[in-house]
Parts: sequence; C-alpha cells; structure tokens
Amino acid sequence: MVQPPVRDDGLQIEEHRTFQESFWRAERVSWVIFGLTLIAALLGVTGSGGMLERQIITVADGSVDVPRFSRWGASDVLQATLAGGGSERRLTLSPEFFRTFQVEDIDPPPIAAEGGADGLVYRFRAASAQPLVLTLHLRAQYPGIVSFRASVNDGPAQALRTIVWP
Amino acid sequence: MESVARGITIYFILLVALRLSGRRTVAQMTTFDFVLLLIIAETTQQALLGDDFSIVNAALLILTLFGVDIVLSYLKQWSPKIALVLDGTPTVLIANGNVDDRALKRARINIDDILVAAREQQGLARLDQIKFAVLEADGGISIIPR
Repeated sequence: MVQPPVRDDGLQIEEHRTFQESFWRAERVSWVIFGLTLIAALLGVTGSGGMLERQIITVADGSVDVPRFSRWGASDVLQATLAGGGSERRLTLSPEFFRTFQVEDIDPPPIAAEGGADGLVYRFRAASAQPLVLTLHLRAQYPGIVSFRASVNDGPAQALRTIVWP
Repeated sequence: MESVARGITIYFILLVALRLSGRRTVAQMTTFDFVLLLIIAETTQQALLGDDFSIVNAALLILTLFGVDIVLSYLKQWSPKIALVLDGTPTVLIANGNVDDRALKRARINIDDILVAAREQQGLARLDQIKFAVLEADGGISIIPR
C-alpha cells in the first residue's frame, strides 16, 4: 500500500497542489460558462420565453410565429395570422413538422385538415374580412433540429427551423 | 433506452455541477444550501422520470444510477488521476501555524470557518493554537492543534 508522503513540516498528506490550482482555475472558467448559459437562457436560446425564442415569417397573406427554440416534452405554440378576404383561410405545414411536434389543440378548430402537395393543409372558415388569428398548441416529441416549411393561403412556402433541446 | 440515457445524463450533469460549484457547497451547508439541495433533488426527479411514473422506469433509473456509481468507483480504483478529478484532493490551509491566504481565497474559506472547525473539533479558542488546518476532499475542515 502506497503511503502519502510526509512533508517537511511533518504533515503526512498527498496534497496535489498543482492539480488543485488548475482545478480552481477550471472552477472559475466554469462559473463564467454557468453565467453565459443563464444569459443565453434569459435571451431565449433555451426556449420557454426570451427575445430570441421565437421567429416570425411574414408573407403577403399573413404571418406565422413559431418557436426558434423549443424543449422536448414541453408545451409550445405556433401562432398564425391569416389575412382576410374570401370565406376560407389555409395554413399548410410540411410533414417534417409533424414528425417532431404533436399538435394537441387548434384554436379556433379548423373545418378540415387534409393532405396536400406541400404537407398537411388546415382549412379555417372566416366569415368576416378581418384577419384570422389562430394558435396551434404543440408538444415536441423528440429532441433535435426540425426543418420544415409553412405557407399561408396560396402563398409560397417558407422554410423554418426549430431547435428542440433535450 | 430513454430511462438509462436520462439517468446517465442527469448523474453526470449533477456530478459536474456539484464538483465545479466548489466543495463548500457540499460540506459546509447553511440553511439556504439545504433548501437549495431540496430544490435540486425535486428538479432532478422530474428530469429523471419525465412523464413516465411506471415501476419499470423507476427500477431502470435506480439500476442505472447504482451502475454508474459502481463503474466510477472501479475507474477511480484503476486510475488515481480519475479519482483525483472526481473526488478532489485535500488542501492545506494552515501549515505550522502559517495561514495560506491564497488557498483560503481560492477555496472560498475564511478564518471564521477554520475557527468554527477548531472550536467544534478540538475545543480550541484561538488561531495561534492551530498547527495544521486542512480542507479535506469531502469539503470538511480538519484541525490539528499545536
């Protein structure tokens, strides 16, 4: 059995002071990383609120507000504003979106959801000429990066990307 | 698979966070530290279990946590360097009556902490009665009187 060395002052101890000095430095660096992580979280990089958390695409027929950063298993929302005119509004989301996100609820409920060339098309009835604001309540089923496309009414599909943190 | 992955991930996140937050956090616990520990335990429990409260999930998590612990204990036995990184090393704070101010500052220990340990362990009244004070790897302060 190897015994710890006896120091000049008589104390028998294995101190590893050089390692401890390095570790103290590593501790301080890690505290800075802790702080930066918290600042990033406050800015919204880890999802669940913050100025960077969401991304909005604006097209001629409205806008789609989706999370840029979301969390696995946590609830989130997609909000869309569909421009007025006509008796029907449409929101189209590509299949990649549904592979990661479970749509738990849609408010207001669509009159139909059907498969189209670009993905699933939600159809909404709108009697007035006012824009229709709708919310999809989501829950991410898997962590990872989700690239999908969204379009409003007959507008061109826009590419979007959401990072789902584990 | 997810239960095991969650267990291993949370184990290492806790290990790294506790290790890097410093030894004072573990050993010299104030009332607030105790509350903090309870909150961490509750947060960890939710992250470990997710929304699966089945017995299988709980059993797998328990086995995972014990398994990682056993593997790490073997790794520490096999490599002293791993043991050093995981467990830390003692730091001499007072040697032959001389206070190492740098060690105290870096370890976030003050003279009062040493005097408390001296009173509690040895019944010492003054700093000059202390020959050695060592911040042990487990975060406790041991005192050797003159």
